Amino acid sequence: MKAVGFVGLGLMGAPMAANVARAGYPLTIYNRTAGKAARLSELGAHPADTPAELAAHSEVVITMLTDAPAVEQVLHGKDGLLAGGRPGTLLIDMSTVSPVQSLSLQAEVGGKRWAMLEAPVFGSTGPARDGTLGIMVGGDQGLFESQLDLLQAMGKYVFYMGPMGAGALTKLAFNLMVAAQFHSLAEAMALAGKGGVDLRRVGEVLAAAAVASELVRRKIGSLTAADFAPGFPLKHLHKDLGLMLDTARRLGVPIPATAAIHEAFSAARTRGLGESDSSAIYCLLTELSGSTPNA
Amino acid sequence: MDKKHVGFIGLGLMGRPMSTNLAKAGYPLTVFDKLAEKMAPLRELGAQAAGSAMEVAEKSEVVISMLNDAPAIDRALSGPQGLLAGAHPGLVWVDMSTVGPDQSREFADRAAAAGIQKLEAPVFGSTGNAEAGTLGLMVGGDQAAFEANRDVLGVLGKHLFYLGPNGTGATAKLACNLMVAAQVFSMAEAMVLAAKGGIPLAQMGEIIAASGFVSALITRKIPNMVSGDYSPAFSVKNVHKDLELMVHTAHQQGAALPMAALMHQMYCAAMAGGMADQDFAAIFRVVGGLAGLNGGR
Repeated sequence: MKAVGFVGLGLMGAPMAANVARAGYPLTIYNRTAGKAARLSELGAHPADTPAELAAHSEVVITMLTDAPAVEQVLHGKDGLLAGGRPGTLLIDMSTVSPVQSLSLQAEVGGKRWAMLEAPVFGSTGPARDGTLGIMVGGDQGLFESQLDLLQAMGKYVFYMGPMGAGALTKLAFNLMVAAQFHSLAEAMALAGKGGVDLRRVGEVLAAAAVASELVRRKIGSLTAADFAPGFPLKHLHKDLGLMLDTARRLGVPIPATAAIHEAFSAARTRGLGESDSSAIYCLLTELSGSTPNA
Repeated sequence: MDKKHVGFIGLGLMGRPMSTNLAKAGYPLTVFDKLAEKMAPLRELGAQAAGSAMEVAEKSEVVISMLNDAPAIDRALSGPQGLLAGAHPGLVWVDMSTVGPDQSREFADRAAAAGIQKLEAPVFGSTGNAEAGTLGLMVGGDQAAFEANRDVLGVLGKHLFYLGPNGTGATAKLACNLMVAAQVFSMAEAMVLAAKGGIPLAQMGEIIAASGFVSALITRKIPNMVSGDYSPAFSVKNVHKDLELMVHTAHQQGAALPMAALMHQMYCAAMAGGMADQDFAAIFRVVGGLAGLNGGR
């Protein structure tokens, strides 16, 4: 089996890497903060000291990082992936980035004669642990097919979307609807709260209605309990909203609701809600309405 | 105990299957619709067709109305042939139309002045739910009057939520429809963004269907956007009206709802574009048009 390297052992990356190890791939791991590697070592993964060392041991390098600058950071420099890897290495970037950023990463690794696929995911930490993520792949189709087994170790729904950029675009279109559900739930609750209706009862109504997605059901609980412990940190969704608008501008697509939501998320970050869950957008809307989240 | 005499006013897409369920459940039923031909199928089920809303009120212990908007309710209430002209002690009027909380409270005041109880009970659910008797009812008004009519309301809906005084049910309904409009509107933006970048709509639809944010509503609307068929289940003009109520209500209450306001403007554009009677998923055509897609594709 091909030797795999995994960079980025965060909330999503750690369980994904564990599934790669369990599927039997010889695995090298790297994380900026070393402590996160311990449990993976028990599964036989070899921790590398630098991205360069990881690349030297790997035929396929997977990155699962916060954003494009974080991917750039592990690629470049004397300890970077590109310094240690051989020509013919394949980069599979699973981070959420924009199509333009994906194309630019491809050009950079292409300079060292590496190949690349983009493969952003949908699903939270639960599906990451269970290996049931959705994966939206862009890049060369033959290359995609040669990596299907590896991708299926992490995901249940693997979609080939088209050339480089198509996977990133799909992920952004996807998260657009995620952001809108967070935001519209917050507006609905702010309206009901200001009108003097018991939020718990409204939550029960919404959970029984045709709008009740899994996401909406989970977040009704956060809003009614005013518990904004991060599942999907607001600053990350704010970043994604920025990428959506940038991408839409390049494609000539007006997305007015997304623009409004982006501005609301900007305001929420300014108020220090960036580290909270995205459902904390509700705090901004109640503030704008002159009430409190516990109304 | 004998079943209550029930009256039903407004036999449209929702009202007809709802009143049919009451007839089938064995309630003595009197119906009225301003279009006489709509009463024929109910008459076949044993319902009496009345000549006016007043006659419905006179013959009933509880009267249900399911009408388009506040002006239509006003017409059914007022005048010598109106519901209030048929008021008698003990009558309860349950209005299931979607109106603003202020309108609902005003109707409750008028009913009280005529000596009758008024409940609001706007519903969520499609015509399919109306046929199956599985609607959700968001009830506002006197709690004892609600409890006394649980039997009748339970024939129409599976989920009965009592929320508080008149106005609270109307507010919950608007909050619910805000999310309805937002899910379809954001899907339109997502689909147009994907389409403009070369992703086939059908494939985007498959991905949305596999997601953690897919809802029963989204599942129903994916095929509309993929096929371009906008036969109405819930029309543009109705969503436009509800958004107007949300924005108006938010304005009155001092709540800021930027997304609802924006969607209201976009549905104004859909109305101006001649889409009033199409399904509200046709907002995809408006968003697509802004991006220079022909008919949204």
